[in-house]
Amino acid sequence: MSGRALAIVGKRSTVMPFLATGARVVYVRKGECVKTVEDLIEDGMKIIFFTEEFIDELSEILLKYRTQTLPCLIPIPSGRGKTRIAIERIRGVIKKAVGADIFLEER
Amino acid sequence: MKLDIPPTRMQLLYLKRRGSVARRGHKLLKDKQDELMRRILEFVYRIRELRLRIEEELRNAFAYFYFASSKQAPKATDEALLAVTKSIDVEYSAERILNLKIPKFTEKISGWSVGYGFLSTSGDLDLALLKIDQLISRLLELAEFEKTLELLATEIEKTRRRVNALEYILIPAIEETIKFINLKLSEIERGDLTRLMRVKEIVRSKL
Repeated sequence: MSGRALAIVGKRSTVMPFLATGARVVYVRKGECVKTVEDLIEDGMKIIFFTEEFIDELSEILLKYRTQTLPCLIPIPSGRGKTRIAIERIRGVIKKAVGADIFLEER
Repeated sequence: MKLDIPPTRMQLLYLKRRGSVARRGHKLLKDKQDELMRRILEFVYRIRELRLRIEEELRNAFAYFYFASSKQAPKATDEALLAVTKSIDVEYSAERILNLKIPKFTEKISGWSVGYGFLSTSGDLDLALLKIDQLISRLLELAEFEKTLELLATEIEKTRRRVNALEYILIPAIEETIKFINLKLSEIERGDLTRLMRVKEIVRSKL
């Protein structure tokens, strides 16, 4: 059931439906996300999706793997309301690179 | 700022060569920066649309899922999800944009996502799982695009620093030094000439 390519990390109630996709689903609580993700990367996971609420916790790891092609660490919306943190993150990346906020018109 | 180089004809030749290499490098890097910028803009719009769409669809799917789990016994949902026989594998290949390795993913799916009995589960669960299942290819696409964007962004940052260092530091410094050496050399030449004239005069007056 759990392949070695795709993992989804998040709170139990949020990521449980993803079991239907055949990806490896890992439940975490606040505070233990970093360790889990590091283990998954060591395991050879190519893509790791995590819910937006863990983005602050994982910021160091995100920075570390920024310049590498693999693994892909991608935040996904948690499905409850609009949290926008992931979009803010991309906006930050682009702002730093281009020097202008070209994501702006979306608001 | 002038470079710390002795003002000799050798060094002048060397600097002129270095200057032309620096200018060529600057032009190349500038072109690279423009191309990276064009690509990043392309990705920005695609990612924004994709993200908004995924957010919307995920919200939909979750709504169905919550409906389903509130309608049936909590154990029934767990059981239904345990019965999933589907397995997803991702094939990875790298594509090259400029000197960057861009990931490309293709999914390989086997098995079925609905492996439970329909008696103890609600119909909403089927819909929720179906929707999430359809979402996965889009999520893979998002992963691909966001990684590309990140890689492009770091590359742009690096390139911009290099372009600026060449344009505002190295090339002006080389030009200034070349000018300085030229002035110094002509000064030496003038000094030699006057010394020669003076010596000639002294020699002539003694004859």
